[in-house]
Amino acid sequence: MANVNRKFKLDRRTFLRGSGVCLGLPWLDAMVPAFGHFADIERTAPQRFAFMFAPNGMKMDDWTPKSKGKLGKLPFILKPLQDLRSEITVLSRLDLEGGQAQGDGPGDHARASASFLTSAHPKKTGGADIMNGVSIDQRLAEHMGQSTRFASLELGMERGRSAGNCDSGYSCAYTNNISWRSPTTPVAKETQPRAVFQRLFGDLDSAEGRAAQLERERRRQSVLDFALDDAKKLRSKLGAQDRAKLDDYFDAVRRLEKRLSAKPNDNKAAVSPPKNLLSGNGGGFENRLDLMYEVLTLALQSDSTRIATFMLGNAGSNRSYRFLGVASGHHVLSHHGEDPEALKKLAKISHFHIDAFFRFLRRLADIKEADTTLLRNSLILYGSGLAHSDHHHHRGLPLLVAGRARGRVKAGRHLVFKKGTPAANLYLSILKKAGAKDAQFGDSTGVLPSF
Amino acid sequence: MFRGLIFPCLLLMAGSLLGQADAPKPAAEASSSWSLDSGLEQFFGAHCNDCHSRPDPDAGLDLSSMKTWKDRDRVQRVIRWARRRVQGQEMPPPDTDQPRPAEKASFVAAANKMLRRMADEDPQGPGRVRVRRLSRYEFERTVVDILGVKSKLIESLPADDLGYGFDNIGGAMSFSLLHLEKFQALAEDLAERALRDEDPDNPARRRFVAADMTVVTGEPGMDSHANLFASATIGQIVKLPRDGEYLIRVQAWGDQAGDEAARLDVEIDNVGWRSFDVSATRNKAKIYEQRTKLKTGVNSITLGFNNDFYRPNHPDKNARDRNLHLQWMEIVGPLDAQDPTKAEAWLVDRKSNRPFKRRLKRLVRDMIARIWRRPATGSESNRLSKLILKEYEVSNNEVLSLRLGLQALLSSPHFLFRMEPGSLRGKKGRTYELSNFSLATRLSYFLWSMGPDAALLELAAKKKLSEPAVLTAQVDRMLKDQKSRALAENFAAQWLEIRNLDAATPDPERFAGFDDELKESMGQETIEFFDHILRQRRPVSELIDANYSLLNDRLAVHYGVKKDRAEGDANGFRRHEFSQGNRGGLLGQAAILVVTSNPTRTSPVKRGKWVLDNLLDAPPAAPPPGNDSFAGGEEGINSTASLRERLAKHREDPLCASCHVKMDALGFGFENYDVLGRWRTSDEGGIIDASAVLPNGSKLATPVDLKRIIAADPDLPLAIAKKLFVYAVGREAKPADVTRLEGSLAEKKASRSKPLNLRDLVMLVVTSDAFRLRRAARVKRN
Repeated sequence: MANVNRKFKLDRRTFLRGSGVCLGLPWLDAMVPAFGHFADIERTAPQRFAFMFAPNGMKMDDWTPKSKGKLGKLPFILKPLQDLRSEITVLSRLDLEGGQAQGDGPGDHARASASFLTSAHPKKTGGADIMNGVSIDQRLAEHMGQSTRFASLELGMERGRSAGNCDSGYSCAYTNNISWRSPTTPVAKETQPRAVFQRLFGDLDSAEGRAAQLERERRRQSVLDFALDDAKKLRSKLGAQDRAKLDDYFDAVRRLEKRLSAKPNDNKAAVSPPKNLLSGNGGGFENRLDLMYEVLTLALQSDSTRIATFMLGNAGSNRSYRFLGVASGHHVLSHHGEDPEALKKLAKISHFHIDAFFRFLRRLADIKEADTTLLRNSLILYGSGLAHSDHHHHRGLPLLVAGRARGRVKAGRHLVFKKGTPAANLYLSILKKAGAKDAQFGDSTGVLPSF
Repeated sequence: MFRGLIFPCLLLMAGSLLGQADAPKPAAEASSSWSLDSGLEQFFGAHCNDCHSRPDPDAGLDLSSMKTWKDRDRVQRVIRWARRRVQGQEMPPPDTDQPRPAEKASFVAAANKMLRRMADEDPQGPGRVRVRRLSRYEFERTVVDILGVKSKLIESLPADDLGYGFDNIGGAMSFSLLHLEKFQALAEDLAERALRDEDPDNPARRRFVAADMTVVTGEPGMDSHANLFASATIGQIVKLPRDGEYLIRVQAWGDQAGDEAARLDVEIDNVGWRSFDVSATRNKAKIYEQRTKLKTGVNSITLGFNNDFYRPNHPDKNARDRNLHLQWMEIVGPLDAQDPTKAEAWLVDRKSNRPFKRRLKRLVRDMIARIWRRPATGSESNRLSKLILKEYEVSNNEVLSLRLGLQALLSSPHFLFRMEPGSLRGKKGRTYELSNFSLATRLSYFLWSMGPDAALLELAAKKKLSEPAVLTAQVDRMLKDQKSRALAENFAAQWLEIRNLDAATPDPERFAGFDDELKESMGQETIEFFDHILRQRRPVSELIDANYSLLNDRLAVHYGVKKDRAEGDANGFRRHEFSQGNRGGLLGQAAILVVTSNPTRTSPVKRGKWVLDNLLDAPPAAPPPGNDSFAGGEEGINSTASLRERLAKHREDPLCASCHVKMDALGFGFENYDVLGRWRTSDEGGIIDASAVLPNGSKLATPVDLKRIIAADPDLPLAIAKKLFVYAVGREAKPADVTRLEGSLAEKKASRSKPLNLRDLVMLVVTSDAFRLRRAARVKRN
């Protein structure tokens, strides 16, 4: 061993900046790639809002805490949240009138997802003339999405049916989406954690340097300009309905251009991908679910977005939770007809999901921001668009929120509202907490008292 | 009891399917005046209105007030439904006074007349189709057809939201920011794959200075070289454009000591590749090189020194320390010649002497015409030329410049959406013929799921395609072409719902052996079978009553008609005639039996519903909210016997019975097929009982009966034609459309003795007004 003093260690960050990203390679596991960077959260400590949709309703007696007020011992489904209950607010007796049939007959699953965040009554159509409302997340994105690279993030666990009918004469657009940018435009979701990570932070497989990436972006930009020019010319030649479709394209181009032209975040700290993300998508549904929550955590932590929705399953999902010892499909089970065996399994599925949700909250609670935590800066809704699974109604929904929206929520309580209170009142309250001046959301009648 | 079972059943079905509940709110134009045929009114009065009138009409269907209905579509649906009920002996209920045969006949005639009149007077005319985005399947086929390459990124597209059971319905297909991002990345990737920046005479050379490479193990010293004084490894990530042969070259020298030369160990993706004895010495560095296969995308290459030798006390100063010094590494290639891609053969000409700028003019026109499915306008050509030339100024590279042009064309709305311009012509409501180019595109996406080929574009340019004889001849040409397999892969796979196979999760503990190969074989069987019926112009009814199917060995074993699989035969599908009549035709095909089962058991309800939805165009209404489960739940059901019991019980509830009598009966006909579609005669609950009675009294006990009943159903061809219509036109089939289809079907049937085949149905759709015409849209200038 000669010349020891001549040796020096390469600064890994320098290396990575030079040669781009290196992943999927065991010998580089220790390295932290420079995908994205945490912004100066210390200073800004922004509010974050996220909305989780659980399909097929709930076994309500295992969800609803026994008494009002301060949360004590939580019921079976919510039990995983016991240690975090000081950050939880359970909201009982909120209704989604938009989800009710209102003379449209069957199709409660489609209505549950479509109205969940819009509080609108979706038009019953197989596809000819889709009409719903704007969802709360998209309204928030409009209000506060400009300051982040992604105005909002839409996630899910299931792509959606690929044949047949989704629900009783409703187009699958209603069962597969909870985010609606306009009454006619659902926002498509991403279902692979790895793809979400790449979208947020960069190409995992790319060995490109920064220069090559900039070059790529320049080319993309000129392609966008070209497409935009086309769209403009085309627009004047189309009828109103077709024009609306094209406007969706237009709108997307403008937003993408804005993102491309935005300056990258300050280099405060590098974001590294969750471990399992590298080894493919690792294992089954449980792992993918956890990974998705992890990537969502990174998205919020890095201030890439402040708004997110997450469909834990599409409306009417018939997933078989075999790893829980539940072989029957979730949807089939939800039609339990009060069979105790079925109810037990149904609760088990919900419990599993709350457990995963807890791990997500735990992570947020562990991330320090200024003198508080990411969780306390956030408001995260969790719930279903159906209440009692088998009755398929949309009144008295299972809903809870976690976090405090930066001190705007007194958490740790079980709030029971007056019968007939619209869920839209919750959304109006959320808008208020976000600093928006909206006087109305969906069918709201006011803000929630004491929330 | 009988009445309790059957009576509300039929009415409720009609009611919830056709009543206010499901009917779309009448559009202003759909509510124009109409008058009820007196024959119908009479019949309703004599046989229906007893129950179907206010104050409490059965099934909520008040026929006595039909005259006053504003919604024409609802009127037509109810009349069609009533006709079906009366013809099928299902209405009026068997235990009530029955109309005389002559009365029935005149009712049917009156219904026909009424439906025809309402279709003729339909203010919607051929209707309007909303602009359609290419579905994922269409996108992939289209680019493969044009460019000859695929991209894995296609997997990343969001799922296409279905409308009316298909993924190509304009109104249901959304476009959001995520779509744009994915389509952009796809366009980029496809353009790179289609036009490779490879010059065989001058392969790409990537040089990496060793001192800039990353340290993997050990502590090498980095100055102008990488100096590996002790065991150490440095590495480099190399991104390569494709799988192929590359030359790896390393310039190195060693401090030699001991009895062997310094050794350079090269690993590719963590696997030892080869070692070089680096006998070169300081100031006489040598290049060590060898060709090897490398893969597309990311390759990690490491250079290691593992035979360190250090004897500080050796008397010979030059024999004390063995070290390895690395200067650089080069990856050269790809070196193996490859056939040009379709796009390269089309656009790249390395031999040409004419300047790029001059050649470009023509190329740009060709590219737009082919990719945008219609001729370029002058300004479009100019803009594309400008884009490409600007890039050419920067890169001085023809391929890179054309690639950008390709990328731009593929990301454009003209490519991603099937525009049908001209919709502003004339007044609102005026009907006009689609342009020949729009027609060519509709036709090619209908039959091939891809853009029009040169022959279609040429006919369109000459404005000939819209001539009926030319159109018909083109349909026949296109059906003969292998590309029409898309009808099986795209249309049939959605129509028959076998696309849902991917999401099927039979419980592996109860139903072992459902692996990917079996799953794919199942889907393939149905596709091959449909393709066969289409190509061989077999009668439509043979879809159901065939005594054969197309099997590979895996399926033959699965069905129990063969003991073992032949060696190496996974993909060969051959016609197999079944000795017993049960199997054969769609109804015995595993793909269909799997997608209509629950994870833990078969579902006669789902199977019956599948038949009604897809084969008979009689979709049952969904259960009223809050009524769609068995009392006592599903969990206790683990055998057909207990299931049958449970189903029988829930048919006691008239509300459930209304639909389930027929649905369950059809479904029970399948009970001999288990969750995986295997034949069974017993299960845990004992002997399988597949017998049932249909509402009109016909009995069935085996799949043979089921096949006979469905194959003979007069609604079968119309049901398929309707599905084809929705898929081809991209919108719902309205009652008037159905009446017109029915009329053309009847004409066709009457005009010849041979039974109808799928080609006839395709032709019917293509020649329909809805396919060739369009109603002008409202013009809103802003």
